[in-house]
Amino acid sequence: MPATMPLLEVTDLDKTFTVDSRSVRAIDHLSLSIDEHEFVSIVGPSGCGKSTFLHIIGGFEPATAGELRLSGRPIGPPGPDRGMMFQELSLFPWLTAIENVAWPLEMKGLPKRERTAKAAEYLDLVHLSRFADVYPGQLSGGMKQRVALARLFALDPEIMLMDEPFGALDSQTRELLQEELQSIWRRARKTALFVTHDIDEAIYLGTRVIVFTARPGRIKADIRIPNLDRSGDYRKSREYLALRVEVWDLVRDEVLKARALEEA
Amino acid sequence: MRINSASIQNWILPVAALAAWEILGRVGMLPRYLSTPSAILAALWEIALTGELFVALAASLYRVSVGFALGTAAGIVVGLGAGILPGVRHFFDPLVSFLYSIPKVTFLPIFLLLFGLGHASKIAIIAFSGFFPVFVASRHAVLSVDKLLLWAARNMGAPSWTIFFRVVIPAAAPQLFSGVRIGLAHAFVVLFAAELIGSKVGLGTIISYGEEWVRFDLMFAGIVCFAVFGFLSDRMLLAIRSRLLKGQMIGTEEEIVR
Repeated sequence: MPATMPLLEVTDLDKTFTVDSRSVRAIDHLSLSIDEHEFVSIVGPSGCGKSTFLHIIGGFEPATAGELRLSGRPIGPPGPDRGMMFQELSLFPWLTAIENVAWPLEMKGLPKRERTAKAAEYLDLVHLSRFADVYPGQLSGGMKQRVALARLFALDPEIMLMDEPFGALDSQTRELLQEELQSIWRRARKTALFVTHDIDEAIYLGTRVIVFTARPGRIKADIRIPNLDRSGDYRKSREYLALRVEVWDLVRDEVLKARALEEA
Repeated sequence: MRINSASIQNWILPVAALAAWEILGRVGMLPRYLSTPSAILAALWEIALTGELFVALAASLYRVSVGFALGTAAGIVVGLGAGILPGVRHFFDPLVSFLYSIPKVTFLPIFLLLFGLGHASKIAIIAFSGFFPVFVASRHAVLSVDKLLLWAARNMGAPSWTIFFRVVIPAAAPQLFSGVRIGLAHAFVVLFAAELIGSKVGLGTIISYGEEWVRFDLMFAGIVCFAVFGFLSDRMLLAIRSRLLKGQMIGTEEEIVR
């Protein structure tokens, strides 16, 4: 395998849905390659196919046409090499926080003692050690997503696929979780594909921001953010504000097009 | 149990009703067939001393527990199967929806002819009637398992059998238990009917004997036994459920009530 091979390579991806016997194009000839250690944010108007794109990579929905490869292998059914995180609760409500985090470790065949110890470490990473024996039903929305994050880290996939994981949280909690995710991510730089409709979130977290067009989804812009400094004042920096204006303009065009499409 | 105004309020109506029943009965303001609480207790004591009570209890308990266990087990297995496999679903659905609304007791004569007057016919009809609510609940529970939980499990590399036992069953368990609870209530109704019509021993038999021989105290003694029996078994079921479903009852109405 050549050293320059991208981790994820998508070529000419097409996705067509059938809704009420009408076919709707969700994704149109999309090509994208992502290298290891990139954190790629995808923003775009709602309904632009960005979630569908993630589901196809995850193996949960079939592609209509095109080729998808992860580390050179064609992508198959859902598997632990591509770890999903969802917006809604996907923790098992009958298991405690630590049991939820230990689940992927059990699937990997780790013995009980080892996986409990490891799960405790991951819970500690998201500052939830005190809530190890609490059920998801007793946790706040933000805490639930932190447990889901810990579970995703425990799964340790080749690529993390995150589908608006903080979308249902209030803005303060969301910002806090963004900071936590960012600081954890910097340690291992696990490759991530992060779908969001929040431009600030996309820029703050990403090393690369991809703007999707209105339906059918295509890549409108691909912006790299080489500066990884996300210290306290980053959100006030000139670079950040300039990026924000740039992305905002790109997205707004597409939101207007999406609206026109809906009203047509 | 903590004593608070709610727990006192809980007791006001039952205690007042019992007291009124006793007093009105003693002064002769109630028809004789309503008996009185003290006479019912005396009748219970009487059949306890002769041993009749325990013979009846043993017979009824045996029938209802075996019948309920068989019906529930069959309902869960077939219901889960129907939830997962479309083939099983298409096979059972028409049959079940056709039979569902018929009171299962109406099949009693057939079961009596098939299995005779002994335990077997009661067990069979109790199992038969318990099967339906459990089947319907299990089938529905599996079909309404949150897709995201299944996706998450597949994403973590779980094989199909693991997903079935470790995700589908626990996720379906709350609804499944509701079906089992309805099945339990049906079991007692059918037990009574079966013992009333074709039986030589059992709680239902004590009730019909009391009615026939104008021993209304004895009749009520049998009813009291049924009530205690039903109440205790339902509580047992709820205790098992809250134990098994610890995480899933958080924030539900039931957790608040209990």
